[in-house]
Amino acid sequence: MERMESSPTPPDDSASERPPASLTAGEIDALWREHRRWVAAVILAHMPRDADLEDLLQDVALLVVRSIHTLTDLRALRPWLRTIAINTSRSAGRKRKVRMRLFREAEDLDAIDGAGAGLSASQRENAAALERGRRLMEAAQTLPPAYREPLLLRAVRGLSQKQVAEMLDLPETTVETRLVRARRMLREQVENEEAQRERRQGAAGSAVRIAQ
Amino acid sequence: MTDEIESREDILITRILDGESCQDDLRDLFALAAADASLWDRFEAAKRDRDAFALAVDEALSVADRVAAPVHSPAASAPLRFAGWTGWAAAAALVLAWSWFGRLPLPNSGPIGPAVQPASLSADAALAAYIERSTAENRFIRELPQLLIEARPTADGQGTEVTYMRQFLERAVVNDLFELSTDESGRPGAVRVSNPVNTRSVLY
Repeated sequence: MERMESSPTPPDDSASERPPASLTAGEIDALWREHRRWVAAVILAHMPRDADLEDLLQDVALLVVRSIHTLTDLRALRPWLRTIAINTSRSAGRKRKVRMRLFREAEDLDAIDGAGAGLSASQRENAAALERGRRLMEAAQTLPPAYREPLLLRAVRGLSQKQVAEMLDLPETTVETRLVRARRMLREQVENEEAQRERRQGAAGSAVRIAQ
Repeated sequence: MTDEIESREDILITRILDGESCQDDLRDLFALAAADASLWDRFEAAKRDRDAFALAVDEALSVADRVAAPVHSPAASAPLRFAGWTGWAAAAALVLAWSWFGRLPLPNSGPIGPAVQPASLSADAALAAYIERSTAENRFIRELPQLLIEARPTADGQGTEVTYMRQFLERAVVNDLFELSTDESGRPGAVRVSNPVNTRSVLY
């Protein structure tokens, strides 16, 4: 069960002293730009695997514009945004907006593989890191949300552990423990998958040799 | 789920990689590495994974940069507009009610037909009368597909209670056409449509 956020976070923008109902369109736009990346991370942590992140983020943006005037204090903006993001992600689970995300990612990987011959050493290194990162992200989707969310939020540029703890309304030590365990689980899962793949490739190689 | 006690090594590596470590953590890590030099391999692997994960997350979240807040979109302020136009909606509903019960003439509807007492009609019969009458007046076009809002079991468990929306497409000739719009502060207002070709309502 997801808890409703209640503890206000410290002011984090110049408009935070103003009542949300008085925000201009430009100020709402600026607030959205400031927060949309980590909101996307929250959606990513809670959405069904076959949902489309961009679609859901657009839904959240629309809800924010429609109802930010109902927020009484901008200092509670982060918990409020997080609640909207989680609820939107869960409703996507009910709507089951099916997109071929996995296929698209597979195509991207093929494109990287296909273009590998023309890449420099550092580009190949980056591509390999990205591929490894994608595998880790896939593995992260199998973690319980209580581990997945802090893991993804901590990977958002510019977010400190303290800020993540405030967003999740958890003690910093709990966030740290969950990060440590989540990373260990990811590592073990990816290592297991790689070992299985090597075993399958080894078995396939043996079969080819026998056939020859 | 209960939190197990994580290994001191994992905690130290996480703190150092995340920039959350203190001097004691560094000293402790070096002490552990002095006893087991393979710790540095694990440290290096953890750093690679952390960087790779951050790279992939960054890539996945890059879609966020394309999603703008729809501060000028009509859809974003639809509820506000609706609230501002509830008077018109009430008036429209009243006209619809008149036509249903056949008690008052619709615009350009000619003489009033034989009065029908509402009490003598069931809801379905009243609706059928409305459709028949408005079709004759070239006002009713068709009913749109019904939209299911909610379905839930009845309290006695004997059936399913459904809430659904029925929508009717009508035509009318008007002297002026107004479009709902918002000013720069997002306040709703009406603007006369000068060129009504393919103009559509934003109430949907």
